[in-house]
Amino acid sequence: MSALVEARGVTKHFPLGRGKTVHAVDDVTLAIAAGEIVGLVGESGSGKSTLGKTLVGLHDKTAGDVYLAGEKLPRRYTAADYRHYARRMQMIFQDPYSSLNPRMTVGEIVGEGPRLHAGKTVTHRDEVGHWLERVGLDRGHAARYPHELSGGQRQRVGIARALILEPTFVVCDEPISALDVSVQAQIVRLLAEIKESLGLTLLFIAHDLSMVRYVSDRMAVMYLGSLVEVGRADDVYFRPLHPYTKILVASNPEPDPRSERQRKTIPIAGEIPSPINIRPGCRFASRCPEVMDVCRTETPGPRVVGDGADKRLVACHLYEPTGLE
Amino acid sequence: MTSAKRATDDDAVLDVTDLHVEFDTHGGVVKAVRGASFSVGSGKTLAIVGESGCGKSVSVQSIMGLVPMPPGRITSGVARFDGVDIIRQKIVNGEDVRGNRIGMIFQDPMSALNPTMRVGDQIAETLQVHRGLSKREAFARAVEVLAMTHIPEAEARAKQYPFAFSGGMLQRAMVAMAIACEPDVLIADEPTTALDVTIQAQILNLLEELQSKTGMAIVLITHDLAVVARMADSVSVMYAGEIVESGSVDDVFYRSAHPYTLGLKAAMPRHTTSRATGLQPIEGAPPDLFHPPAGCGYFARCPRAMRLCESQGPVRFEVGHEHHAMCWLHHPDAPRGADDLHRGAPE
Repeated sequence: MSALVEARGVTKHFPLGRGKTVHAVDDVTLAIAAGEIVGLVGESGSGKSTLGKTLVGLHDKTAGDVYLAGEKLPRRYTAADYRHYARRMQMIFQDPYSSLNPRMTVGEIVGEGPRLHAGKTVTHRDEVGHWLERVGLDRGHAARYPHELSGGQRQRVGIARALILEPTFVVCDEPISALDVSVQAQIVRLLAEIKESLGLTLLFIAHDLSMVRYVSDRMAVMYLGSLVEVGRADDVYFRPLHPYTKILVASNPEPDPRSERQRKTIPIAGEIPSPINIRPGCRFASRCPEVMDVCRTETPGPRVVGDGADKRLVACHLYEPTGLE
Repeated sequence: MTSAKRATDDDAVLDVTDLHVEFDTHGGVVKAVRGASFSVGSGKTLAIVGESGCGKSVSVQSIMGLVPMPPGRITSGVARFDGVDIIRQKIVNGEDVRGNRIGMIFQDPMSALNPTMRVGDQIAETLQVHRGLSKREAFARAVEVLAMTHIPEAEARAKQYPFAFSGGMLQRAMVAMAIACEPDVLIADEPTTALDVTIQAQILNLLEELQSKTGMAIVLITHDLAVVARMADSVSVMYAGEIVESGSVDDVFYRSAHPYTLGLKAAMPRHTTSRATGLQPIEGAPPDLFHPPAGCGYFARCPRAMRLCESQGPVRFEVGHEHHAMCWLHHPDAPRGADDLHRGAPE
């Protein structure tokens, strides 16, 4: 399986001054195959969005590299790099309210990509209209401003803006969490349709586990800047291996009263710790119900657990260390 | 989880009947709540579920006197608490009801707490106002209730300001404030929407634990059917200002009697949902409540709409014991489709 996007040891730290550093993303290695949807889950503050932005070059990398179809991407983008790579990698943002410029019309927002990248001036109006229709809006919406649209319509504009350049890889950063339930399903269906017709590869970031399981081929679970488990979405959800994934799944309610009455939630004390100046050892050790002595001193690298279809990467001392591959 | 039983009118501690709320705006009058009725019994949890703008928050805020009037206006309705209509009378048996015998917690604890007051003082304030405790007594009691919500080192925490608390801790502090006066009813307006799933589980567990200790009734306002399934004894489904279906949690989930309830369920992924079966979005958007439709509010989005539904608002049909739906499909003359809409026993 050839990876379209590959992160090798990607690390993003934000210096705070006075020797303090936020370890937002630490040594993340993840390969995403062409045509695949990988879901990325984790609590707020786990570094999901930072990882997504780092992959598409919106953040510089502190260490590590990202490869797109085998080509190593620059560690720090220049203006020319953005212009070059933005055609192939795009991002859809969480908040359809703050991610659209309120002083631009929908047509200007969606048409900005073709204008900048292809230098099109005459033909791009047609293209914008075509894309507005493709995401379920009317051509007439081009003349409107974002404040005239509902949340669901704005998110459609965000999708059209990201996809009009026909990228190969798109990071969807919580694209549905600001939307109502019935509209969430509309947007998920739209993304799935366009993904099929354009052959897109997606990283789908969300905190809604049920939705990520439904949308994704594989699921990656992030905790405090590190990936703790990666595997097929159904396997990770229904048979979690990492203690953190187990807690996450057990905490996630289902819209089904009978199964909720039988639910055994695994109580987890406390909250995600601060990512500033992280101590050595497993990052989950302070909250882990299965913590051992080794967890407090040694950082567990990812281990391959299982084989065949249910092959997983689990970063936990409970599993025998293995080499990757 | 206790058995799913809807409060009957007799043992209801809070009983709201035919509530109508309007707002004057620049664009005209918005009819936000158009005849909502619901009730909850001691020790029970009622969930009011619906999407943004359906009127679920306005319903409870208006009876708590939290809707500014003007521009808001309760045009009709009765909210009976302890035998008294609290819409018209705020003092019951010499006690202020709001914040005392009915407590409330809000969605966003960061903006609901005063950033310039110590957390303990904010909790103490309610006790000074409602219970006439001295500042010192009230603060000591505030520390106790903070401890009841499992905030570690409650005494030290009570002396801190809200910015020093994480989101989950702030929500606990808000729960502490709401339960400080040992209310009979706790209204929780989207209490976990801003929280991560692990913290959500902690807060929901806490609410259940406090309920089993004190026997308070909980009215839970939420858009999340999973939270409803986890918490509720009874459910009212709200759409476009009306309660379109109500009943026990099992009736509403497993014998859904309104097309909107079916639509909401099909739009959310469950354990059993695979990409093959698929999610079914509800197409379209809720109606404009500046000009509420003449007929059923769900008409424009309903896959089973009939010609009658466009012009004639449906009446409430009883489709089971304490199970009601506002939908013409329950009329004896309505066509019987091959869908999974629950129908009452034939006449």
